[in-house]
Amino acid sequence: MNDPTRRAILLRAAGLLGVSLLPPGLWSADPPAVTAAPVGSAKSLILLFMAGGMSHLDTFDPKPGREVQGPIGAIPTSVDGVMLGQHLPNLAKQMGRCALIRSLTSTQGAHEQGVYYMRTSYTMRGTARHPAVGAWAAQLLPRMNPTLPPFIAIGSDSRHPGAGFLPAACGPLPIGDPAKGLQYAKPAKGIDGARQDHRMALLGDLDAHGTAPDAEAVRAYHELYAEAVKLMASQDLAAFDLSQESEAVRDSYGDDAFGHGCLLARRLVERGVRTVEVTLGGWDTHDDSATRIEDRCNILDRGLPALLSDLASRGLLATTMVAVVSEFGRSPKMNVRDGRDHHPKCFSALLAGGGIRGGQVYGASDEDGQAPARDTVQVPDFNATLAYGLGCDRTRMLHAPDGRPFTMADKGKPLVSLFA
Amino acid sequence: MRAALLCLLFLAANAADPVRDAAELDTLIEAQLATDKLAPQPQADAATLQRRTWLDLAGRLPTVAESRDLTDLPRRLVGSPAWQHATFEWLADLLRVQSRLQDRNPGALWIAWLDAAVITNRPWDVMTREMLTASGPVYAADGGATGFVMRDAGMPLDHAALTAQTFLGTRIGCAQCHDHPYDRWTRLEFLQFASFSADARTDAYGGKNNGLKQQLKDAPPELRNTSRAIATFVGARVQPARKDWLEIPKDWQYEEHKPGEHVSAQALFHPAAPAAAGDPRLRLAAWMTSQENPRFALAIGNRIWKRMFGLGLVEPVDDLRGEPDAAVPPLQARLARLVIDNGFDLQRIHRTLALTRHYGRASWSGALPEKGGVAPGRPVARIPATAWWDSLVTLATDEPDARQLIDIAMLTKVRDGILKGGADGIVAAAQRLIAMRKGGQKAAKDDPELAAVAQMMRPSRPKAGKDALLRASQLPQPAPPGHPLRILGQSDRELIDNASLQPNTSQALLLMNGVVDGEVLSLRSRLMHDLNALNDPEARITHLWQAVLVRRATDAERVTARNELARGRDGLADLAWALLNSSEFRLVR
Repeated sequence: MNDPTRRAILLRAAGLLGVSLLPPGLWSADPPAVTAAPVGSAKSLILLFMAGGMSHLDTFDPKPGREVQGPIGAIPTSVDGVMLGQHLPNLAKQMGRCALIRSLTSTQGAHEQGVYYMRTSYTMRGTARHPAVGAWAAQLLPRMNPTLPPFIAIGSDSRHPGAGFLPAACGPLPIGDPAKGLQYAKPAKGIDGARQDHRMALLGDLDAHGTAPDAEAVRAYHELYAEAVKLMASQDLAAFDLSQESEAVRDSYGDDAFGHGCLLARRLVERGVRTVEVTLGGWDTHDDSATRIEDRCNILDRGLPALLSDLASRGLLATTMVAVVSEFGRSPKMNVRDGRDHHPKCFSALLAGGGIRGGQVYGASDEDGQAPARDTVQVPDFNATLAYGLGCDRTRMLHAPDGRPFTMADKGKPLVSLFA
Repeated sequence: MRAALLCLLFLAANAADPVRDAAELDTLIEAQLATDKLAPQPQADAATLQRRTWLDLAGRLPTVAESRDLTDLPRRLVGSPAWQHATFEWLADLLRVQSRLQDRNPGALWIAWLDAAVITNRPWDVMTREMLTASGPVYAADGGATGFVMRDAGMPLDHAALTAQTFLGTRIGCAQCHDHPYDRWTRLEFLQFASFSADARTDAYGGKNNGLKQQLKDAPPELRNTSRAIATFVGARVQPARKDWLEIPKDWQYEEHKPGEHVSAQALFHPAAPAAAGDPRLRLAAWMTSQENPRFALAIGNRIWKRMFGLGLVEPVDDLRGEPDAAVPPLQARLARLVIDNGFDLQRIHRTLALTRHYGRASWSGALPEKGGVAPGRPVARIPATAWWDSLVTLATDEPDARQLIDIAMLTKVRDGILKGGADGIVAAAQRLIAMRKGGQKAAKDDPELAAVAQMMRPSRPKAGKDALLRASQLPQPAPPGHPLRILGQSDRELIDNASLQPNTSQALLLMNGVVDGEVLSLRSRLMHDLNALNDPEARITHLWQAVLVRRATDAERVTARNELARGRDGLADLAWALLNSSEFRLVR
């Protein structure tokens, strides 16, 4: 079906020749869909992951007047004709900065597989592990801050695909509780620089004489210890300290883990971290979805608008792409428990900043949000758009240990028209 | 019926002979390696094997005292208190055990149930039946198994998919919406399977029509939230399933059958589920745990295989594919028979695998087959998060296997007391609880009964404070985000087997600057106390290497170590720090 080798050869050929191998008929609608070396204006990406499957009908793609809409209504936004779910009033005011994608579709309807696909553009397979978007960016783009890691994941689940087959240092630095910041970044009490150096030298000496075999599990940690040492010496450790922000700023983001995460994300991209992922869970609203979604929206509708305003006021929005996405949407038809079930066939995402032209809607779902009605966006297309925005070379093939080649967004095509 | 069943189990258990069974497995393992043109590794040295066995079966390193006895490890470790901690965590990752389930439902009783099942070595088929058929109040003496149902409250279809993945090692989730693209399951089969359990409902307030929910709406606003939380804790129950069918949903895309038609419960594969009256989950459980079921024994066997050999015969361990009643490779068939012959006794099965020659082989850092199978030796891997943490706890504390059991009798007494008072009783309890929170520790002592309620509402065991140096099984399930265990990769219990071995920089920082200096090298730690009690530098080196790496120091290492010890107290600390940060400490091999 998907012969990776053959695909790789095709891609390589396409890259080298600078032409598409698609039949000419497919070109008519949107000719510049594939460009070999995209240049986006974003330096950083803040990826807000709505874990559990965010209901598109109740957030980014309401269907006012339709029976499927259920108890959560729709509200107008600052952009004529674009409506949002009723619990996103703050975001509605900033619609002029945002682009909505309403025709996203996934092939994966279970959480684990859906999250993995969204994060990596590849479906889960056996024991192979694909890199997450942030890991690709870390590998493909130069490091902007020599001491802070290029990829930081705040509040994410325990099975993040991370670096996949790429070097371990491309994987995310996990931050469990953003209010606590980066833990253990300072040497323990009484351990000064000289003592720390001595310890590292001693460790190197013992490891060199030790009996540990030459295995991936060993090499990865050598890399990460080197990263850790750099990080400890970083001038930018203060980035992790939210208490350095004024109370007004902290209040604007909301006093919850997601708000803290968004604020921390801003502080990190400000210092040149390439990708920051912030997870907001709890969207798996199988029952009593109105109550639960209102609760989630109240959190999202503080953190996200505050982040957008804050980035804009600091002149960072032009170079920071903010993406809001989930592993799938939720069924338009409500179930008997007043909830909505998984719905990978159609869902929504939001993009802002980093060259995205605000105030637009890309694609549309059908009248009940059941399926994309036009301009269907596959998951790899969405990730290709992120790659395009960041200026990553999506055609660059990197090889897993078994020799199979992979690219940043598989066969995805970026939504170039979203960009200004 | 019950007596006959017990008798059968007894006979089955007697049919197993660990030594003979291990030898038979070895023959098949070596045949498999020969087929794969792989040469088996030689036997590992005694120290390597000892450390591996402790990590696998006890979930932690041995103390220096414990490490002196190398004899008969499988028999001594399996079933020991240390094993109970490790096995609890192993099963908790599989079953997605959480201290707090959905909607603030309590997980404490579920945890207590799993504790008891592990401690008494309840056979896996019995545990499975208890979980699959659980109903009634959660806070009752026998209510703990409801946790498995409560875990997926409101998600009957996901629950069916997770049930198949957990107990049959089979992923049917794709077929929830359409015929499975890569495996044989159809959407119709999925609905038929889900029909057994879909009607079992979870009720937060002890039943839909008892008016409690309505009455609590009238509670004073400042008490409403706490009242609801208490109502959830004391009222939560699982209603048994009555109907055994589901309606074909509106988005049905196949020719055969039409939306609205009823689909009746049917086993996923041969043999058919037995007929029985009442809750259809009884039929599901009987079918699931039947010895005729070709997947049930293999699924748990494959998981134990992975735990003991580092690589499942099938990988991922819950992705058994193809026709379930088709013949499986001889080694898989033998493993399934081993599980059945041992009456699903988890301890006996682990012990048998530990007795194989293959278990004792030297490690292997070469390639592994992607779909699972047999490696020439133990694959070198990072130490699992819980074993990593539990080993640090072992080095730091005197009684690493200390445990505190949840007082079920106390909790159920309190529950009954509050429930008797109906809505008023709940509101009154809420009032007292709020006052107690304001009053702090002292108020808790004055009102032990209410303190027990407060305890129910907290996700931890009584003594597990934030920084408690207790084994993972004694901490909140899972440990909170940011806890060392989570940094090391403990499962968040959102998905089946969600623990991670991924390395990251936070782990390096934690080991360099956190728990090692803070806890293991503290003067109060067992390790430092024991080291300081020794005067002879050579004895200190011997002790340190044995405690951390469970082996003797080499001559070259001794030279380095002597130089460090000559620096005094700091040198000793730095030496221990370096060993705890060494590659070797982080590996299972």
